[in-house]
Amino acid sequence: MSNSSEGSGRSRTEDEPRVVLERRPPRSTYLAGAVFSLVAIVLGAIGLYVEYLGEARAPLLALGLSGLLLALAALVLLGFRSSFAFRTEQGLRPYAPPSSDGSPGVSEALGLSAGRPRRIFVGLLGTGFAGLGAALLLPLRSLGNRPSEGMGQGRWRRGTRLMTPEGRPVVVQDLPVGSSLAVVPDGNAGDYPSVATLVRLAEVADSSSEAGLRAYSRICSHAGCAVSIFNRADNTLVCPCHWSVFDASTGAVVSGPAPRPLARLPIGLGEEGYLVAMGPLEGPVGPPLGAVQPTPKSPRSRRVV
Amino acid sequence: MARSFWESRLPLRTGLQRAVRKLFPSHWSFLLGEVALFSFVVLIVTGVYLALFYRASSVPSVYAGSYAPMRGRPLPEAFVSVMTLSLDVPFGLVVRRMHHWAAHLFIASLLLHAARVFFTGAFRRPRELTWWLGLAMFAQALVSGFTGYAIPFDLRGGASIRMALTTLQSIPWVGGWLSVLAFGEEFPGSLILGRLYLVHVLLGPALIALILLGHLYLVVRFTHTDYPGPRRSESLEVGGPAWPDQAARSTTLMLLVGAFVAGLSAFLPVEAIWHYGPFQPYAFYEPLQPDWFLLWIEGAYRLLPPQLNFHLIGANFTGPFYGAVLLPTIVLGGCAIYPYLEQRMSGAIQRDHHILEDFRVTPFRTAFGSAGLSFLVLLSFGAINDRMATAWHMSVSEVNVLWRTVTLGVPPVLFLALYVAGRSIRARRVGARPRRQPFDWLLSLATSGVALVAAILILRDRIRRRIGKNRLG
Repeated sequence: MSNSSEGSGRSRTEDEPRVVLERRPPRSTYLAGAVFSLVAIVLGAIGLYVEYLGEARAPLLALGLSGLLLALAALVLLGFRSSFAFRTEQGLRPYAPPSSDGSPGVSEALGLSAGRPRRIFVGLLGTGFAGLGAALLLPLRSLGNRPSEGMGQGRWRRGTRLMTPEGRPVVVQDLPVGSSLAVVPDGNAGDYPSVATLVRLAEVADSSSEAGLRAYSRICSHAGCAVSIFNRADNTLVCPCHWSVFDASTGAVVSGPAPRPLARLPIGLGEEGYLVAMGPLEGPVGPPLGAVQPTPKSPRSRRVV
Repeated sequence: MARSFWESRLPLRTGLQRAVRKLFPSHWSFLLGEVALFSFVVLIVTGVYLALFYRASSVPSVYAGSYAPMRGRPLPEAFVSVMTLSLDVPFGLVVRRMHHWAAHLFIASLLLHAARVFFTGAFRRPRELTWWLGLAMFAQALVSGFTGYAIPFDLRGGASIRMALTTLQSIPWVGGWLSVLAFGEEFPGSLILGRLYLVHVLLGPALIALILLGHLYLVVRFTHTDYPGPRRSESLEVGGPAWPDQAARSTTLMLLVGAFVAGLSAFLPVEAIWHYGPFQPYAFYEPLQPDWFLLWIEGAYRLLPPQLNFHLIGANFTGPFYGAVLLPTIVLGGCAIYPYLEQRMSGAIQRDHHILEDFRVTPFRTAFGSAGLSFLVLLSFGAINDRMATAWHMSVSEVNVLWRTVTLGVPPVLFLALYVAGRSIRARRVGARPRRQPFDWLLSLATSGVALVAAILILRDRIRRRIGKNRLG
């Protein structure tokens, strides 16, 4: 079946004589030790969690991990010893595979075909390594900070000046009727969730200077791209990334894949005629997370005036 | 018999049958290589974790972590990332320490494994290739150890990069070009950290893994060697099969290696880079030594006298070249050709060897290996000449003179003593007249010659110092 006879003169290995010199049968007393080790593993994992959530001192964490691995080593050795006969054999050099015809399956080859001992062996080692896996979740947890409430809500506060990305404060006259401008908060120009779009709508009934000014989060609620186009003719804001279209007067979704409106930034006139925010962004910024977040308190309720 | 999902898709029946029946000898010393293997596993796992935090950049960024004395200072990004990992990431310091100690265990177990192989003659035909792959792995392990020491870009790391630059530059004729190509810019530049990092996390591990695969393949192909004992011979092997005996032993050993490394990490802090601070071209820290496995090269750096420097057709031969290029080449190259030399010298018929030799019946090999090792150990102590000077109330140059004498004098004496003693021990153990080794006394003569030359060199140094003193006085 397989061309196992590599080279010449290896045919003697067809039925390779193997002499079993010694056989140490499994002993059930080992089982008690294995169970004891398993308890130590579980305790070690619990201890690691306690220390990690507490002070997370490096020497104690290392000691806990060391103890857990030590107990797991004992479990593996005792688990094997309680389930298998260990052998010392004598064989011919060089080593060559036995003929493949009629070879037993994997379980038979591993001596794992019996019912109860197999379940015990697999159960013991499975639980032990699951304990190690549980402990190793802790360093994975350290990869990043907890996603905090309000993260990604931007840094706009009442009185924060609107600035162009180049760092100029914005006055109404900067914006002709029917145009838009990207704005960032004064002092936090690099903060990604804060970027906003300031628009001056084309058709408004009131002709006062502030009327028709709107500001929205510039981050699309679909996939997080920049909503960079103001379509004056339709009075819409468009994200060219996946073509979500929002009403420029309200921020509501007009068409496209976006699931929710753009967060609105309340604005007003500050000192010297510069435009300022009247509060933080209203509503969630950007696309929804995969996990349901606790609803942030409505910023509107905290607004003064 | 119904085939399982996996059995019907993978060559499990034949492959597993074959693997399961591989025999492993029972002596503990065969586990040294496995310790190295499992240290490598720990290194990969912890290294991947560290790489998730490390930034290979020397660009300054303002440190805002929890170590108050450095807060608000612009520090190299690489340094900051290691600081943050160590002090502000729970479990970060544990993983860093484990990586550190696993690296030391890796190299230590490689060394012990190599010593076992050498002193029992396991490198003999047909296993020369296995021996060479092991040597290559050791060389790469030293390089990886060095790059790992360098990339946090603390004061020591930066200093070691500077020494690597010197080493490259010192190579006759081509050194200047090599250093320019390796660094890309004026030292330190912004490229070298990224390049060292690439060597440390990609090229090095890939090379070690490849060598490892080849090494293990050959181990299986040639079967394990074994110590002399009942029921085993050059044609018969004795041991426990891979499953369940060796599977139980190896898995246990792997977990024990992990437990040992974690245990070391609990009690032994790794070098706290915040004590040294970031690399500054104007600063240094004293006393400063590299990791123990590079001390022999550092020792050569410190002990080699400038009198050995010379010019030859447009090239400079200098200390850094001797210490960090020539010396490792000679040591590793010597190890590589040793199987061939021994075969030639013994004059024995070429045949395969599977049964190991007792080190007490191989006087030349034992004496030669011990003398060589003693040379490297003594040379390593040369790297702490500043500490020895402090401890012994001597000047560093006095320590240098003393230690050059010791380093060059002890190995030949040790060789002769062990060789003479070994021959009589062998005569007593083997009884009959030992096999002829016609080159034995020639080699002893040669070694004595080296000692003589060393003595002359040292004397010359003394005389020069005396002349210098007189001139000054």
